[in-house]
Amino acid sequence: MKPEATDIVRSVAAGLRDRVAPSVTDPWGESVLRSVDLLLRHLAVRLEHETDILFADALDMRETLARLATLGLPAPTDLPDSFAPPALRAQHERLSLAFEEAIRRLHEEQPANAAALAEVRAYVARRVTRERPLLDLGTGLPF
Amino acid sequence: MERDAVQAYFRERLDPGFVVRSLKQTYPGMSRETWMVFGETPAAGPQDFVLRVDLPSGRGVVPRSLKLEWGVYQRLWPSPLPVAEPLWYDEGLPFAEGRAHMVRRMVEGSTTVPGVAEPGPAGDELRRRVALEHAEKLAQIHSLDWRAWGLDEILPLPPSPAEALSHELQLWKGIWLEQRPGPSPAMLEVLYWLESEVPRDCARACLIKGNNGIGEEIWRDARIAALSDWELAAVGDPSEDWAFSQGMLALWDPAEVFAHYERVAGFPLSPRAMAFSRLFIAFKAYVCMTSTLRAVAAGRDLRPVTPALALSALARESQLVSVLGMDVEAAAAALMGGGESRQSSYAGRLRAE
Repeated sequence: MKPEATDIVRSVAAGLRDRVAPSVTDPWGESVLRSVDLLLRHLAVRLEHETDILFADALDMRETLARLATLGLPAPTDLPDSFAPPALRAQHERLSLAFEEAIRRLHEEQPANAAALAEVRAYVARRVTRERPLLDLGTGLPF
Repeated sequence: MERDAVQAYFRERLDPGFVVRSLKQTYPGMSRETWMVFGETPAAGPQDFVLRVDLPSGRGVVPRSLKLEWGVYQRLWPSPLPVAEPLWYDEGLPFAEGRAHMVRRMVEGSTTVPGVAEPGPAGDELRRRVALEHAEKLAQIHSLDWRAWGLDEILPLPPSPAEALSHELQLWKGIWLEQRPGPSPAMLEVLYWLESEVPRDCARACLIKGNNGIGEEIWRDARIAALSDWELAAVGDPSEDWAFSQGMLALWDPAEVFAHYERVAGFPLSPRAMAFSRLFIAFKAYVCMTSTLRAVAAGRDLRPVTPALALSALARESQLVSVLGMDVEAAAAALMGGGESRQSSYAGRLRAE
């Protein structure tokens, strides 16, 4: 449907920023508008990219967990193999929990497993890089 | 909060003739509502108070109870540290929908320091005075005999001074695991790294204030008239307070400031503990700002600032991951690139208001 959801969000943000914010003088009102502006900028990016990011990250976790299994950290057998909306968010959370369990076992049971540690750290670096566009919201304060 | 409701409540608790002249909510105040109550009684004349109230959602960005903060005020009031006089704490009353609240006497002054951002020699002199005053007050907090004032009755204690930082880290790990909104493999890995690097040879366990500096304390004539906001008070390593001083170290030459601190405190700070605390504070801030999201998901907290703060905390997660595995002092230095500018801008903003 046109207009796209991202176009709507950007219009709302621009209207608040350009027309409403300059006329607000109450510090609490100004603060709310700063928070709303940040949230709308985030939402515009998120509407466009979140599904792709969740999909890529779920796939990456699945593959990394498989590699960790070969390095002595077996993954649960009931993890999802394919990913798609509307279950994608729940599938991503399930994989994140499994990944956390692998991290716990690594540090508490096999602290000398350097290859597994390298795999874990490489994955978390990829994860935050992947999420960075969602968090690149400028330098303003959130309130 | 309505003026009439506050007046009726203060008449009941304080004086039947109490009149609220004006009522103002302080800004920014993200952890709790703070109301300045300007009033008077026929007998005593003008009397002003500060009313701290839990948010309608239950709590804000600080995962500690108001009752604990009240307990800290109660014990510090007779101590040599300057704090506002605590008057009463209550909860479960018809007032404020039953929310926990405390009342303290208002101390004359401001959370801002006019002129501290002014350029030129006068501004420099003021910044120096403010920075040294802040260092002196932190030294007094850190050298306080906290057992003598009963703080061991309410604050969790490390098993030994050497474990001052590792004990604090475990406490905050527990808060995160209990209150986090969902799994985060990245932050869990950061946490294991912090656990492997935490100094376990701290020289002393001190009372630490938590968030401190301009914007937190009550300032008057470039002096701290009252140390305020004890919501993150703990027994820990003194470096934690410096790491949470919100841009104060950017005010003046840190070498002179630390030398003054060490003279007053009577002990030096450990560079490694300081570096670790900078990383730890980033984790603490992350915990504070993301543990509110359960209230957002449940519809209890509908303030736009809450998810906005959580998003800024996720950016902090990314910063911590970027220094994973580095030497602690190098990691802290790398983190300060983004962290200090954010803290400085916060302090700068408060100074400007």
